[in-house]
Amino acid sequence: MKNTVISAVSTSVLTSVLTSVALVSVAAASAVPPNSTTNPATTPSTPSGEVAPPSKAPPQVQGMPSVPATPAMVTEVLEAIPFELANSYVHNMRKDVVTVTRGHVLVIRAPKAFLIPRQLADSVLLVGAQTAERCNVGYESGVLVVVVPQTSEVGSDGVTRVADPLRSRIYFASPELPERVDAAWIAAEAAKADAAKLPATCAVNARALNGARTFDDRDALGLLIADLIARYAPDELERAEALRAVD
Amino acid sequence: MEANAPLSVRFVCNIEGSGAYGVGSLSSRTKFSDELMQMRTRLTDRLMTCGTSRSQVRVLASLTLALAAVGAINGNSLAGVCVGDFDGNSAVDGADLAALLDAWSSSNAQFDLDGSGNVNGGDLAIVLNAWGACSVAAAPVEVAIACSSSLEFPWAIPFDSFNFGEAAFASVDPARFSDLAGRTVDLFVLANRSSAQWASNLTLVDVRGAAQPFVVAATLASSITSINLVGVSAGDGDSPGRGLDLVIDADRDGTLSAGDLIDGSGDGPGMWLVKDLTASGPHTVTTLASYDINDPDVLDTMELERIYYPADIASLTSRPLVVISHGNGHQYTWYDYLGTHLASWGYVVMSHQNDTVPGIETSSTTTLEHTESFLAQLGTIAGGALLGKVDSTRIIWIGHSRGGEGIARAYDRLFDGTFTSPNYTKDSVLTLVSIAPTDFLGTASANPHAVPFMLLYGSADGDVCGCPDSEVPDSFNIFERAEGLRQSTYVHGADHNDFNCCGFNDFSGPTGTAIANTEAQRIAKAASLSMIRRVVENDRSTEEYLWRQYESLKPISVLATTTVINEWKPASANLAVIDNVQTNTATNLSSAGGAVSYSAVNAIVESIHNDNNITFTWATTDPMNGATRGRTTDATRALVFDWTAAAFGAWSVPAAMKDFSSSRFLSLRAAQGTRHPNTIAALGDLTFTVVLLDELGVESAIRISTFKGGIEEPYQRTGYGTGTGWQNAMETVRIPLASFTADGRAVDLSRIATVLLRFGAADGSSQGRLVVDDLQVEHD
Repeated sequence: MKNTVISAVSTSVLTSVLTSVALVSVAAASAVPPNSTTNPATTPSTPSGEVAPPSKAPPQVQGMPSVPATPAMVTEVLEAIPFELANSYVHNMRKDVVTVTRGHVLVIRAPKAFLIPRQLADSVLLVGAQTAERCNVGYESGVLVVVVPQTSEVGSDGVTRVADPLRSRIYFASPELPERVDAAWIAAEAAKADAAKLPATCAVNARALNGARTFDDRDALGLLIADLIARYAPDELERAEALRAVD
Repeated sequence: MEANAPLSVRFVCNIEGSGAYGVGSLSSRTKFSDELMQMRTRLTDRLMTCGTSRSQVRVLASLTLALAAVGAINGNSLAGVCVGDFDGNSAVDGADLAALLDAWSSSNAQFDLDGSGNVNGGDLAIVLNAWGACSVAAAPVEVAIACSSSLEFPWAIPFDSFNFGEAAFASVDPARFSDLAGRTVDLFVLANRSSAQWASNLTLVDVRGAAQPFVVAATLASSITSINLVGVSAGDGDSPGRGLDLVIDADRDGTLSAGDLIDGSGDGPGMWLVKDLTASGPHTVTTLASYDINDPDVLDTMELERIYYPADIASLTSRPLVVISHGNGHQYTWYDYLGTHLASWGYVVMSHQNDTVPGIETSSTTTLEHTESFLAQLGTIAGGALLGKVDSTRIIWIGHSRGGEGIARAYDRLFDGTFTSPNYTKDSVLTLVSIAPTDFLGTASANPHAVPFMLLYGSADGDVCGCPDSEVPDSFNIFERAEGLRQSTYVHGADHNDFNCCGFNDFSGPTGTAIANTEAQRIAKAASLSMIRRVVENDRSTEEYLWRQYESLKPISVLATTTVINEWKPASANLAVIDNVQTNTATNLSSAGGAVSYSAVNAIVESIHNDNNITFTWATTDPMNGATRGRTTDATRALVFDWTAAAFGAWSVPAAMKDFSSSRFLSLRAAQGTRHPNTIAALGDLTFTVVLLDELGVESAIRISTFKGGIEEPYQRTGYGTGTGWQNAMETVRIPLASFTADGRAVDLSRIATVLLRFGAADGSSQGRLVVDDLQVEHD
């Protein structure tokens, strides 16, 4: 049977990259798979009444690394592009969804362990008191392109100002589904970050700050994001193409 | 084989040309139509034998066939008759003669046996010639002929589906049909005919050009022959299976007649010859690589779809819609293998961008909205090629990972009425296929309710791992919640991203056991096609692929070395529960209220399918060790025990459900208890024997190894404590009830008193640890 493809999108680049990921390792027979969300990297206690295990077990491959401990800072902000939209869109990366007309597109370098695409709860990426929308996976490149809606914050002088992401703590918080995250949860995570003595701001590349850009809507903003993905995460061209494919 | 046993209907009289009247199973007069009368003239005088003249036989034959055609004799059997036996007491005797004389000279059609117009000497002669006990020759009998063979009782297993190019067998049980023992008969393989077609045409036309001689021996074991299917094609249009009827032509006259056996006299065939389910179907596929639905209810960044449909859709009737919802970090373009496959079998498939990053609720909204928009924009998509060609009342949702849970949540929202669409309803969604779904939302929200549900899952999943320390990665939780028809396909050595083209390599398991995505996707293509064909099209040709042991029947191109475990449970209307462990939770009382007793089995516990700690290490304090199928809020329960010597469990059957004779299967599901010492000591397929015991103490026993394989050992993956073995994988054992009465076994299926499971070396595995559930009788 022959298939007719009207306009196929190549996935070969992504395929070859992902299949070459060298995360396979041989684990000891008694190793605990680290992909646990509730008890990461914990060796379980032995219940009473245990029967001695067999002495032989086949060699094993463990493919999915665990979620790293949180909170943890991102490595560096590579670019920050303020934007303004003529038509708003909804930011659904938190329980109390917000309508967005202003914000920043950030290009962030981060530890790859936080960027493995997984189905179980991922570490929520916070920029100050706001959740960030991840626009790509970033595992291969180590670079994330994210969108951060503009928020306000009360300064130490008591004055409310627009939050500047480059002066905010950008960090990976606890694993959770973003749609279940609210202000209280974010505040609790911030407290954990304080307790862990995470820096109040993160490293910023000297060339990071760009001039503000205006766009008609989120689709148009998507073209900028596509360009950034193509530039910083070339293994994810398919995602960039998808952003460019909108009408 | 047809579901119902043949009925024997006896007729006392008929009148040629004007009408006919029956007694016995008929409660009222049946008027022949002209068409049926014409049908009669095409018969030979060999069909029925109790008459005394050729014209008489013709009349009787026409009556029988007409009744078959209108369903009065259940549409699948040709009846025996006994002319002159007006009172139906199986003899032509004084009472019948008196009745005839009472009607003398009248035009009473019941007694005008020769159709002369009145009751006279001709009729009397017929009665006198038939005097005595009726000696009605056997009418053609509906019976399973197609079978798989086994090396032990029941020797011939009445299965219906056979792979193209692989062995298929036919059998005759000489214990049941003793008159055929020692005789050479002809085996006919015919194109499937409906019951009406059989009623109008009894001539046997073999699709191979000629019938196949077959010697019926003295025993069933020796009366099984390989069906020569050389040159016989498989498939039938959009169905992978080609239906064929089988006839044992006992008198070798080329006509279906008294004394013959038939498998497929009803509308359904006696067997299916099935194409490779992993191969493309009959349609060339057109792919629309990217379509933007521009829906204000969908996030701007989630509006793209890839669409696959038959290139010849203009010539087709409206087709069911398959929607694919990908998982987190995946792309809507990563399921070409599935979209292309299903479209080649005649489906319209739409794979959409799925907003999984925020979570399951958002993902479900994306599926719901994309389905709605797609149906709304059929006039626009692909230049309108799909307009009028998509059946919005037949929708199938396939979801992977977070998307797999998302479709369950989406269905739940339709069920709850919290989402409504102008373009489709809950009832439009006919099937859910979840591939390794997460279970973030839990019992109340990630719930398929009664919609048919399929779970595809890989034992080497390194992501949604089925691990004991969290509920979220336990895909089977959702499966266990499904209340309707449900099926699971559990694939050893498949990982999470083997079910798409390009995901992260998450394989986690023993070195050398990875089957890789090519093989996993073969299985996924075949399983999803089978489920959709079965549920949406009521195509029975694919059903056995969903419940038989894979060692017994697998899609042609799936490797013989690949281990797949099937689980199948019909909707509750199609079964009678003996014990599903959901009620009457004492171990000595079944769900049906019957006593349950045990001998020499140990550590009997009934409990929820939920490992009660965070490890897979075996511990007596965790009897459900390895069961990652239910949260504490879920209801699903099972029975577990072990043995090291001869042992049994016996379920008394309550009197109200003792009649198994009209049912088709005895079924249960079972799993080996992972990392238990008995499981480790006898590592391999676990087998036992299933026994039916009737009220007279007659028993019939079948080893489950007869069906090939057994209860598979746990996947030998380590982690989460000490020892080796991953989650308990439940597997269905479904035994045709007819097998219990094969080869002369005298157990009375209408009076079953007890169902036993016997364990130990004489009956299967010498030791084991077994989880048992859903012991039931199934009708469909």
